Amino acid sequence: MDKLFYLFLAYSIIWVLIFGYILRLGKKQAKLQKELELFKEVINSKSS
Amino acid sequence: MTENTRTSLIEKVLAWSTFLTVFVALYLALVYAPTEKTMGDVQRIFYFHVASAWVGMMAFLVVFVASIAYLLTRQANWDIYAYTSAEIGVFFTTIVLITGPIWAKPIWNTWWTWDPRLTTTLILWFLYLAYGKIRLAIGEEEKKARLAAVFGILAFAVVPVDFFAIRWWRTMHPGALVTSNGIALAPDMMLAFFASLFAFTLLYCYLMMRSVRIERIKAEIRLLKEGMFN
Amino acid sequence: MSFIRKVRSLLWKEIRSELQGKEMLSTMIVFSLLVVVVFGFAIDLNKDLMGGVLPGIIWITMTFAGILCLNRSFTAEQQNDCLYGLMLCPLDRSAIYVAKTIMNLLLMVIVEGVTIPLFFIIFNYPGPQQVGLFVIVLLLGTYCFMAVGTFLAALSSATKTGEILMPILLIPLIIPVLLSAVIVTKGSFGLVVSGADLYLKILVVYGVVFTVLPMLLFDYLLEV
Repeated sequence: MDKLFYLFLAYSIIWVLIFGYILRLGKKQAKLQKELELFKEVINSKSS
Repeated sequence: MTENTRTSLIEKVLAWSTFLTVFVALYLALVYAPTEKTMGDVQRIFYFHVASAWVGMMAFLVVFVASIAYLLTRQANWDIYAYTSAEIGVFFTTIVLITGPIWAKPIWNTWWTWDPRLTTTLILWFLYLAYGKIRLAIGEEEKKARLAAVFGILAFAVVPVDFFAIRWWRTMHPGALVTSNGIALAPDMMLAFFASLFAFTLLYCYLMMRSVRIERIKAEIRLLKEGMFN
Repeated sequence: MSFIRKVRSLLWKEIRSELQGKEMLSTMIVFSLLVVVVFGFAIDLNKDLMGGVLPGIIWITMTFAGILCLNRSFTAEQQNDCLYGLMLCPLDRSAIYVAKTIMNLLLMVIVEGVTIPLFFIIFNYPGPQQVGLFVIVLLLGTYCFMAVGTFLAALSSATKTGEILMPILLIPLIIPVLLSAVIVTKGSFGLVVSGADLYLKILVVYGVVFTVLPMLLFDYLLEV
């Protein structure tokens, strides 16, 4: 029973970390994408 | 635009296949594989622990190769590969370093031993954290890439020396607790192990793809910024 | 000019600029004396236990003193853009690396010559059984340290946070050196019966690898 706890602990840490990492990547990408759009808009309005 | 849609298609396919294989591997590791006789269920940590270690090692090998390629060709792409791979490698090594002690505690009754694999992994973790620090400490893109590549080569060159030094150190001291590969794997366990290895390799590819894309967007923004102010 | 003569003239330049102020050498010596004294306060053991701890203390002190030395090694060249001046000289850039390494090695050897006898005095330890082996491992370990260290000092001097970055880069890379040097030093104290020769070999291999690699890569460091 005690050993199962360690197993549970290890697996939950692994997957929490992995999902956290993927979520962070997603957030970062969304933020950058927004920034990029903004820049493009500004440049377009300047040149036109 | 077609280029973009194609990469996002590949990304989607990769994401789903990673997702599926991870589930299959989880099933194989937690349910299908027989319980190990002496260690009991804790041994099931082994599958993803070792898979992470392999993927981490592979990621650092990619850093090494990409660093050499960058110094020879000076193409920014190689730098992006080196950097993202280092970051993902540190991530997987972190998993190894967390799950390792959790496995060791119930089996050896100690969180940490100076086993050569453990210790080499720890040193690798420090080395590639330092690699990341170099990049933070330099402003200019070209210089950042160049110096990081130089360190990426040095860091990988020290790995074999580390491993042998620590192995001989340990074998000379009595009471080295265990060599972690002393487990003869039954075929069913083998299957579970290779499934998790495959799943994590796919996961590595997926994370690489996402991060490379992020770095490309960053580069594009930088280019636009420079264009704006010049 | 041959490579060796270039290195010699660069080394001469290093020595003369050090002799002018002697600030580096004196700072390093005072610093390592302080570390010896601090260890003397912190650790109070009988003679049997001391033999097991002393090699570690010696190498920790040398690591600290070495880091101090390395931090100045290239940042000193950045005043008045001296490094660019050096790079403009008609010579292989790896000659700069070799000269700096030798200079740092010289400084460390002097520091060791002054402080290491004091270790034995302050900790009241009778001195190594095999003095020859002890001297060899000191020189070899210090060489490995400085071969990597000088290279990383050049690398980190090009960054914004050079001085705090350098130890973080250096220490993980020299772990095999420290490990082997401590074990061989213990061996020279007559504590470990076998294996010391193996670790001398590791030091030699490390020294060779990390002389060749930095020489090959140094050109990439000093690009403008």
